[in-house]
Amino acid sequence: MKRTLPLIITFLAGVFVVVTFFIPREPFGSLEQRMLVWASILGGFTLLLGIDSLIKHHGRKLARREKDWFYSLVTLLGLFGTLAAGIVTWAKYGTPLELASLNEVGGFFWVYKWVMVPLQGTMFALLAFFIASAAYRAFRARTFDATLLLIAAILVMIGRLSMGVIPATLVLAVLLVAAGIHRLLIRKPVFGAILAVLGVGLGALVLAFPQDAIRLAPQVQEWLMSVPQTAARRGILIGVTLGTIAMSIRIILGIERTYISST
Amino acid sequence: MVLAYLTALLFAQPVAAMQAEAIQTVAFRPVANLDATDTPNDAGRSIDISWDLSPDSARVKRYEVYRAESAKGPFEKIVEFLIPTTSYTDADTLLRNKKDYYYRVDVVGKLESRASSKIAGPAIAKPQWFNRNRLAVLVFALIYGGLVILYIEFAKRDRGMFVRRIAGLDAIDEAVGRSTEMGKPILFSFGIGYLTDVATLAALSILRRVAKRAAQYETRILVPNYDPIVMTAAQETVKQAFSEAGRPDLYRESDITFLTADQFGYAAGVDGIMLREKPGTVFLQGVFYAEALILAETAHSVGAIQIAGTNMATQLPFFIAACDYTLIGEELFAASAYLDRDPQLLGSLKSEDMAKIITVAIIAVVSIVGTVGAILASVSGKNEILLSLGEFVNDLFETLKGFLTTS
Amino acid sequence: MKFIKWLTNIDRRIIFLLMIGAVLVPMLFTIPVPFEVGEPVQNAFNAIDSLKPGSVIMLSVDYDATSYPECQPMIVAITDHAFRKDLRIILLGHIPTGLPLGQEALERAATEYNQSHKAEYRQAVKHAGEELKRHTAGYQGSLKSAAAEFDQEYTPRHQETLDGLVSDYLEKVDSAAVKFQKHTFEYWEAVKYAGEEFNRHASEYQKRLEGGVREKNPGYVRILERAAAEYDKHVTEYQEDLGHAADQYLKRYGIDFVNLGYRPGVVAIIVGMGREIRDFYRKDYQNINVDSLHMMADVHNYDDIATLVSFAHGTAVESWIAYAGARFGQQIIGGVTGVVAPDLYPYLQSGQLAGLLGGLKGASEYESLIKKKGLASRGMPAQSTAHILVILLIVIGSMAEFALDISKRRET
Repeated sequence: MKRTLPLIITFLAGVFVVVTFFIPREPFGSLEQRMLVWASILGGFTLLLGIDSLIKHHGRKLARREKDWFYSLVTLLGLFGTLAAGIVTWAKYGTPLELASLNEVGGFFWVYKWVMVPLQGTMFALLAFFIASAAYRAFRARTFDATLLLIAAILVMIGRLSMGVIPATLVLAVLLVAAGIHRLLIRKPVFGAILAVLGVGLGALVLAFPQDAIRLAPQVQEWLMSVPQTAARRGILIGVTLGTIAMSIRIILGIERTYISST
Repeated sequence: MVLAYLTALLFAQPVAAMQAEAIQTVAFRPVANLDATDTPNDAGRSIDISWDLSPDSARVKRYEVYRAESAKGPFEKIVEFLIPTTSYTDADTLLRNKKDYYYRVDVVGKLESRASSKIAGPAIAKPQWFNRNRLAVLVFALIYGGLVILYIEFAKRDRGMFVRRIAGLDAIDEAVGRSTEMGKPILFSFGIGYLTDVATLAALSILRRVAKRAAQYETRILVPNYDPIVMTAAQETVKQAFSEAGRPDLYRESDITFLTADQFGYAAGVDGIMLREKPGTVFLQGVFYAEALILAETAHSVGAIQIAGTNMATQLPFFIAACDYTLIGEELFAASAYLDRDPQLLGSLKSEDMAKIITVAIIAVVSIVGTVGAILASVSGKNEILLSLGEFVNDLFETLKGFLTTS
Repeated sequence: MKFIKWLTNIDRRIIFLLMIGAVLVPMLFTIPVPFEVGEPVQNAFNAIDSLKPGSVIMLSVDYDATSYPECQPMIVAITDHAFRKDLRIILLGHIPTGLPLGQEALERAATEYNQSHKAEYRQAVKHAGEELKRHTAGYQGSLKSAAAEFDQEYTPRHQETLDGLVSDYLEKVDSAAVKFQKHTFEYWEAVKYAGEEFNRHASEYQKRLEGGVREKNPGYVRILERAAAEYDKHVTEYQEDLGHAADQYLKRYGIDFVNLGYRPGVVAIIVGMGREIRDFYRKDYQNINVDSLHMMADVHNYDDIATLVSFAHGTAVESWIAYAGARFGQQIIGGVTGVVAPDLYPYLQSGQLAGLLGGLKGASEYESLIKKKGLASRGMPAQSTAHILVILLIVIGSMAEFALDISKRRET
């Protein structure tokens, strides 16, 4: 029974929600909205679970002076400090989301502005560094696919430059020529010739018509983003959606049971 | 003389009246073809009203819509438009089902001169049982559901169903072995998904496999979490897997923790764990947003091999560039079928492929029809045959498109 | 050869250092990068520039801290522009965590405006103060001569009392200005209070003067009353001059800009404001009654709002267009992140959007139009240098690998 009851609930709930999708009549029509609200209410309570785990974990580290216990102290201070700020603002204004607390030291929005926003911004900014190191590592013109990927990436980047379009395109041309020579030397003459010709051609065009190049660069980038990129993304999207549907059918029919403990 | 005067008086009246009338007819012409019908495919209590603009629209200041419960009134104004409009959906909370309503649209000009339309009605609001707009979804859902059941039956009979190699899943055992050799723990992250995300569920089945191997090789496994419910599911899964491997004693609940429910806070926490514990293998499976690359690059910097899998199309490029193995989209969903080789799961995998073929076929057919129609429209010129053919094709395209798009 | 090998595997920390340099250097040394202003941004600028002084512009904050780098420069530039054109600003928003950012932009724009006009304002206030002192001296003069005429007492003590009252008043006005640097609502409350105090004391003074002689010399009392009435006029003039100076040189909360805060429910509010703003916003973000805010007296719905700008990182602009633009004919301008901008181009072409600022680029274009370089203009060159660095790294890595590969094959 412990095994079958969750499956029965899942089946009934799943079929019910699917059926209500097609029936606009009340009470079915608004059922989906209502269930979403119920889900978010439940979600709020489950946060208590998480906080309990957090406090236990770090409290234990602190009490036993385990390795790096100081950071556990910082975590707990942060947790309770923010909670205190919220309660104080709540007591003063009736809601913790009071905009006026922006200007008061220790107000909830003050904490948000001076702690959360800078920290979030910092983490987000890390992406700039990581993109550079990841691109450097991954974009090497080893195979045909990789070369294609590399050219597309560089063209999109050039299309977004506000300065240095000509030098950057020339650098790309040089790379193409170098890749062509490399291919020629490792006995792939056709590929090599194509690359070399492309490179020389690109370089020559850019030097001959610099103004046009600057004007065309953003348009090339836009075409790449809106045609091939969108097509590929839609293909992935279709596949993922069908996979999601299959997975959902499996869950509703009880074939997929990973979310239940004992199977 | 008096007679003349009297006659003049007699005729003065009608002339004045005619003049007044003339002034009236210079005023606005009302809207025409006012139509009121029940809004289709809804829960009721809504009526669609439409009309044709007044021919004097340019001089009209505003349009006012009136409603009454009987043809004689009293009419009350329910909405007004300051720009030329030809339709309105009356979804007023006061509207009741199965009741007669009558509508009138007035145009109002400068100096508040007004012209009223004919009264339209009675219109009755009704709820519908079936949303016709979603018919295509129902048809497709039934077809797909049928396919799933069909292929599951096939798979039960034919045990050797072929599934192509998925490199990321094949590499799991090897990756766990690598960690064991290096004496380093394994790190598994669900990203920032909830248990309601299908990708997280798929990742759970991968976790089970990874945890089982980890128990067999006596390697530690760390699972930092973004969501408390996912955390409890992960704890259950790992505990179960350790028991199945015969090593329940190795299970440490403190290795599967809740970090925080903030995206970048979570990324910072996982990064910290990676830098301190230096795992040998990192699994990034599930739902990821902007923090994907942060996790992947940090994992690389501590020398771990990474196996990633996600359905988030925006993060796939980052994973593909930065990770050693990536499960793209539905390869992640195929994980449980691939790893367990359960016939029911394999059958549904096959039905997925079949559904994909059907979808692509529909897209191809409709696109070709549309393209042919567009070409015919532009080259037919005065040719009768081509013109009518073009019309037919374009109509076909519009019908298909109408059927396939839902709301 | 070793160098080439090293080029294929540059230590990531060096890459990070190079990236820091690529981003910081252009930001530290503002490199003037000439670029053209695109049409969508030019249209947005023209729409705001052509508004008459005193027109009301509504700003909607529909983004939050994650889009700060792209959207904040936009709202900063537009509030600057609006204050320069003497437009009145109403701030509201549909994302509660974004409103503090909007408030920040408003306050900063107001403070900067007030700072840049501080000298003139101070000058005007001082001038008005001296005028008041002059008229006080005149008043005292007429009191003195009247007293002499009617053989009454008007001693230096009388003189000092009045002088004392006036300097007390002027001091209170000045200290209020110093205490409330941002010239917010409280400043004007303080000034109003000081003015009322002064009026009270002045009339008490007058009454005391009269009280001494009422029964004995009605003629003298009449002259006193007339002089008092004259003086009253001058005091009122002084207070009006304060107001005019402020109107001219300062931007004050409640009079030049208000923040209505956050209310839940996007579509209901957008549609409802077509009828009456007070249906949804009875109080502002500090819980002050909207009707007691001077600026809101003649603002009721979209008829009274000249232009609306929505700063968004999602689909808010489309909601504004669909409900405020289509239904009520409200002019809409969009200020959105780079990711969202392409989705809005169709609305530009059909005229439903009067202008569009897209991403950091759009923000920097707008900044160049108002001739005030802000965060966006400093950011754009940095974005380009970062791109160039990544391109160079990719190219160097690839080429080094080619060289390595060829030499390896030669050896075998």
